[in-house]
Amino acid sequence: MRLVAQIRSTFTPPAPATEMEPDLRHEDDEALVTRAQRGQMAAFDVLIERYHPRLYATVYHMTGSHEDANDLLQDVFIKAYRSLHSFKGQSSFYTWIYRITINRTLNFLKRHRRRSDRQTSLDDADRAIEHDPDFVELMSHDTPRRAAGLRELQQRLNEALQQLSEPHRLVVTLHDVQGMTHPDIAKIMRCSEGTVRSRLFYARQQLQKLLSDYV
Amino acid sequence: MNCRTVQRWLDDLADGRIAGPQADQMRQHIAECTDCRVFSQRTARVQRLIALKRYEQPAPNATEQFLAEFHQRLAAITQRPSWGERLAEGWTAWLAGGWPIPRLALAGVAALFVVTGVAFTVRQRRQTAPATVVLRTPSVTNAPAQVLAVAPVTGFVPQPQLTVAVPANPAMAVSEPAPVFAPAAVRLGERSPRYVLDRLTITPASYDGPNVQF
Repeated sequence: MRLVAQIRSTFTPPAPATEMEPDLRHEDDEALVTRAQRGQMAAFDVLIERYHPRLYATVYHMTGSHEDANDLLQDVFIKAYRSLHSFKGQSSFYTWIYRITINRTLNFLKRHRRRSDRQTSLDDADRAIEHDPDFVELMSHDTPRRAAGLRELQQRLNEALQQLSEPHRLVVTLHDVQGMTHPDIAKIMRCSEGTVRSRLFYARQQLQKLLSDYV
Repeated sequence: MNCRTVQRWLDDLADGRIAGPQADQMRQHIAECTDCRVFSQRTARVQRLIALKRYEQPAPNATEQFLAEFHQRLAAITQRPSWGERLAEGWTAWLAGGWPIPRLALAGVAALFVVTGVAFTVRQRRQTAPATVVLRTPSVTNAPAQVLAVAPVTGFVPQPQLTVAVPANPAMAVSEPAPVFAPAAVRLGERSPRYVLDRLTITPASYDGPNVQF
């Protein structure tokens, strides 16, 4: 039993940081990764805090479900933490974690392609959207879309996005929702900028048809 | 500049990644081409629509909840005993437990099985005769077959001994040195072409004839 206890104590992870060290938040990714590689859990917590919102948004727009997005992202960060020793800094931590996220998400979508209950909750939108100039302008036209409220618009957007193939949905999410540049998307997706450009072109062609009421 | 190129590079033009004469050319094309102008306007509108999805945000305290759940999951995963740990735990528990059969006797029997298995495997391997290739004259005449050469072969051999008959030619057998060859079949990791003998100085009349036996 002593042997088992000894083995367990060797593999037990460091205790979670209950209180974040204030100076860690100002450190750059490289320094935080080095600290985390040395076993400083608080440094990894800062990295999670830093990238969780962006990664969450990507996964959420890809899957259309908060539950799936949360579960997938948990898997992503656990995998990242456990393979942090293999991170050599050849790319930035941001690119590395994004690649893991996207690979996991695409694998998940392949496995669950036929699942029909993947619908976005319609109460998700931040009420700030109602003050967005684009939204106000869209809703102010004297057309049938005027009657369509926020809910319908959101539903239509989600349906349109979900009808795109995964690679097309991904480039649209990264470029049009998250505002990433073509070179960054190409780096994350490990493809050429030409491929990104081409996928965006076809995705927008499809979206123009799917959202013809609004454009 | 054609429509296809213009429509694909619209983002770059909007983001300012295209400048100078190329940008002017594109703008001029869009101004003159109705298809491209409509496509450009509709693309801009789609982009603005899709960008509204940025308002779909998780709850304000989502990151804190996520962190707490992350630590729970990580602890559960890393504290789950591995196979080695479970084996060690089971073994320790068994040794400490109060079984009616003497524990050391059972352990001895298990060890005996293991040792017997290992010894049997080693013996089987040693008994395998070293592979050889035998070159002999054919027995098509009344004369008994004459062995010309025997060569040991290392590596994988499909059968312990390969016998290759060559045409009866005593003169050749006497005058020629014993041929040293290794059939292609004995080379490691290669598919064996049929009837090909490497470095064989004697050429049989026909490789497909009855005299060649593998």
